[in-house]
Amino acid sequence: MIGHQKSTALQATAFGVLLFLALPNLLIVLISFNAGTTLGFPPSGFSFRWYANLLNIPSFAIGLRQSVMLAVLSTAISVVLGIMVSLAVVRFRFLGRNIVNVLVMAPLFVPEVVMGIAMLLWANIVLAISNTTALVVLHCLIVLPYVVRLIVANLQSMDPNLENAAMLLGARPLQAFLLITLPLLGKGLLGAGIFAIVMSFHNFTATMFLVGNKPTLPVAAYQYIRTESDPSVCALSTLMMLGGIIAVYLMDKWIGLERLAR
Amino acid sequence: MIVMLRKIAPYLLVAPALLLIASLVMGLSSLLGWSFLDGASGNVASFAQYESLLANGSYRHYFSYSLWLAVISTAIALVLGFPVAYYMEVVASPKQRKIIFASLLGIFLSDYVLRMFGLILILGRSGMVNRVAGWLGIADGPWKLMYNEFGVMVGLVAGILPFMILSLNGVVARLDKRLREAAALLGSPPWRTFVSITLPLCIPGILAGTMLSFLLSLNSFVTPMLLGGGRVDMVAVFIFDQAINLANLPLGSAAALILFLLSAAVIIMLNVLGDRYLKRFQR
Repeated sequence: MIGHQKSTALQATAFGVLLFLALPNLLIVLISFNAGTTLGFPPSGFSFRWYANLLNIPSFAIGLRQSVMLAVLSTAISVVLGIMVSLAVVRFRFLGRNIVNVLVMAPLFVPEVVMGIAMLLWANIVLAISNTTALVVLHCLIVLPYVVRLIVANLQSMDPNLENAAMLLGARPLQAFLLITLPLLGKGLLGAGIFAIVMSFHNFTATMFLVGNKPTLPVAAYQYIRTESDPSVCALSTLMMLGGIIAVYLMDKWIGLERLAR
Repeated sequence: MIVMLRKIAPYLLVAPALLLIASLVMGLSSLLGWSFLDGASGNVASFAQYESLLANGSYRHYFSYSLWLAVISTAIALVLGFPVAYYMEVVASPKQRKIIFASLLGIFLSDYVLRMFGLILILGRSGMVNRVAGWLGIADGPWKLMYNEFGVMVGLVAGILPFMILSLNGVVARLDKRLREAAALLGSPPWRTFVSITLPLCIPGILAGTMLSFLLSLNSFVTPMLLGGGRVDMVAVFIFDQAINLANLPLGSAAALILFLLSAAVIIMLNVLGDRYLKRFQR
């Protein structure tokens, strides 16, 4: 009897905390369909007008383009670099291997504010560089550790004898890689790519130091929240959440959610 | 020839990534350089920035107050996160577990700025809490729930909870049910079993979650800006103001470097604690 009560209390606490975490998102979705013009609770009436209104806000269009460009470029670059590093670290024993391991993970240990200001100063040294190029470098740095970690995990669970067999049968190393390793990595790579896109797309603090006058989507949303108060941002957030749900689904399908958390 | 190739191949493979990392190293070195510039008297190497950060009470407050907020928010997240992890791993059915896990991950991956915006909808003047309190007649006027310490605390806790829970559920999942049963059979009351068996076994996860949460809170920028309205003194806001709005790069760099060292100290300290714990168990 007491045991039962205890587990009810535990259940209540757990659900309370989960509700606290989910409530902001639920409220955003609710108010995005507001027919009125305020962010107040409760919404009055139901309409899609704020979704339509998104098209009238130029900074959101600029932000979307900028964010997509950054996410695609930094993901592509860091996945290629990540495959190369992972191959070196998993398949070779070489002098300085541990140092490489530490260096590649280093961006994880630099606070975002520090990373932002450091890359701002770096962009100042490399004079010819535009803000956008500096942002691509910044996002590559932020994403690389995660990509390497996921690809290394995938490579380690793969049998190196498959590559060796291909090479014994006369394939060149590059051929063995393209025909054997890469296809076997397949889904793991897609998962790492999606994860990288999400991380890049949502990065805010470090990005803020380098945006200049071309905001990314989260920065544009932030600026809008600071100056206006109508439900447009709710509509934008709801669409972004939808994108997030698709990302979670794809990652579950391709790499498994459990693997991502560990 | 092949032997040669095998020798240099790994270096060729890691070279591009190291080139990328080199840009960060360059950035951090110039951060170090800038922090020793004396803003007033031109480009002379000096400790002027560090001196003013130490001497000025309001500058010091940014650091002490951020540390304080980080400690409290981490403690709250630990207390709130543990029941969720425990429920997920011990009580819930596999299907419930999967649903909770997916929704946590969804929250984890949803945009941080927008989650803080969602909290504004809850805590604001005409937000949900104030409206509901108004209907119930328990509030005279609107409560002031944000643009102050309370709002920032709620935001910080909401921001770090998913990290805390996901760090905890690994260790909670590995708990051996038989240990608790044995303790109960030997007459240990439930609270004692929890304190002397369950909790010690969870220490690695607690340390990992604490480290992540503490660092995220300490370095938080969005939360004090949106839920504190820029009126709550956190270091990240100070650094951004100095570096971008006031164009005082030397002072901003010095503050960023101190923040970096503080974060590194926390990482090292918690790692040492973790190592000690492991050694005690391996003996």
